[in-house]
Amino acid sequence: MSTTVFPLAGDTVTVAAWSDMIAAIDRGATDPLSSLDNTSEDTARYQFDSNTSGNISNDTFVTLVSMQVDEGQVFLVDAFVSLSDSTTSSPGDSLDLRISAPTGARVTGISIAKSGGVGSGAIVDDFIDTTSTQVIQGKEAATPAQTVENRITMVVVGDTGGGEVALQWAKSANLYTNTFTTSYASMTARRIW
Amino acid sequence: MSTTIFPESGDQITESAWATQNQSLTVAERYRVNGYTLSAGTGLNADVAAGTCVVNGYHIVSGGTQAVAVTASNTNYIWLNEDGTLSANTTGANPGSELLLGTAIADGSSVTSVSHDYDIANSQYVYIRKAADESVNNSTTYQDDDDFAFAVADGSQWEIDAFLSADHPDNSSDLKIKFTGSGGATVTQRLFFFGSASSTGFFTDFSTTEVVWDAESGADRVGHVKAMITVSGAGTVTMQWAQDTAFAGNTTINQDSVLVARRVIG
Repeated sequence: MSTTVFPLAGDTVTVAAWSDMIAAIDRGATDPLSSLDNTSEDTARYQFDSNTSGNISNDTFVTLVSMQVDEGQVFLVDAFVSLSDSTTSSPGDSLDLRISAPTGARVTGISIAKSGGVGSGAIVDDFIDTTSTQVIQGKEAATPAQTVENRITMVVVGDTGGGEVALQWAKSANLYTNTFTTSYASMTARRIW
Repeated sequence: MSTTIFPESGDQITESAWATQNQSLTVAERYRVNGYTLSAGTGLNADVAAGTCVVNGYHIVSGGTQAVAVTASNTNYIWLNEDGTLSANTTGANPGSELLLGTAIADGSSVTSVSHDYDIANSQYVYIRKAADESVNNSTTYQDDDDFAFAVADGSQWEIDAFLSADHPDNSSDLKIKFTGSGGATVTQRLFFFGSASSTGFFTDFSTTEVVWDAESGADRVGHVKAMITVSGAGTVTMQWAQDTAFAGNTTINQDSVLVARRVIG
């Protein structure tokens, strides 16, 4: 094990050492932006994930979109999801949405949703939870031929652990034949620490 | 006229040249940490994993796990110093202008738990988690929040997100929120609020002076304040709040509510 400190008085400037330092100051990582392609993420500062064709037809939770948090990191996260229900007439199974977080991560935030027309059927699924796994569970009632839009805004802290933070969904039961489909889901994470 | 560029490849670092450069870097205080995670070590030691970081303009690279001695039966604060060494204390007082990596709680013989969740407050980022419930009863007079305050520089602008969990004692009491400057600072603010008004509805408000959370009675209602603050004069920005209509019952902002602020200009 060794610890190096740059620069110290008397050091000779090298391009490599200086580049590493500037990258660490400016971006929190030593990976140059030019090394990223369109499918990669600068996980040191930003993460982005999207899903444009998911559907669910049973009560097993699956991940729509996700991000990674490491111990010691703090992210501001926004997730958006647009969902439609194939129910053509009641009854139908309702939908569960949740944020799944690794043990040791703190998640604090709020989920807001709109169903139906503007000004009607609006709900908010609120949560502040700082414990561990599966920190919110919001339900969307099965609504024939309706689209539901959710926005989840949260702070994610890698307190004593890290791993995947995911927006997941499932039918609340599997009693009916309706399915839920997403035309768009995304998660954007901006590292602030 | 002369133009100098520092550093160029092959330059020899000198104290004076670096002092000039370092001041610029230090002003930014973009303390970025990769790695340096904590875990329990052997006996009364906390282990600090390998990592890279910038502290006060010095780039520090640690190639492996290091142990730092902690004090028995205390909460220990683990610091990364600008010379690359590690230290611990039990006061939480910054030994210089060093970087806090986290805390390690020790019993009589070993480290029992570690945490990276701590308040961050520097000129670039603020993260504050409310330490305890705080209540206002039968009052519409604004009071400073016990926790949500941070230092600001003259001319700076801040983007603020406050995630609040609140108990409302009555449908009429509501909760008003604003930010204020003190110690020489004054603020101009743009506030947007949305949050739960009831179990099935949400409420929004927008203002340049204060937002009001029009909520039905109930516990653990959740609200989100989004604010842009422009500061004139150096000092402190504090979130203030009170009942909007006096009611003889506790309006409470709960422990674990969080405020995050990011300096965007200045």
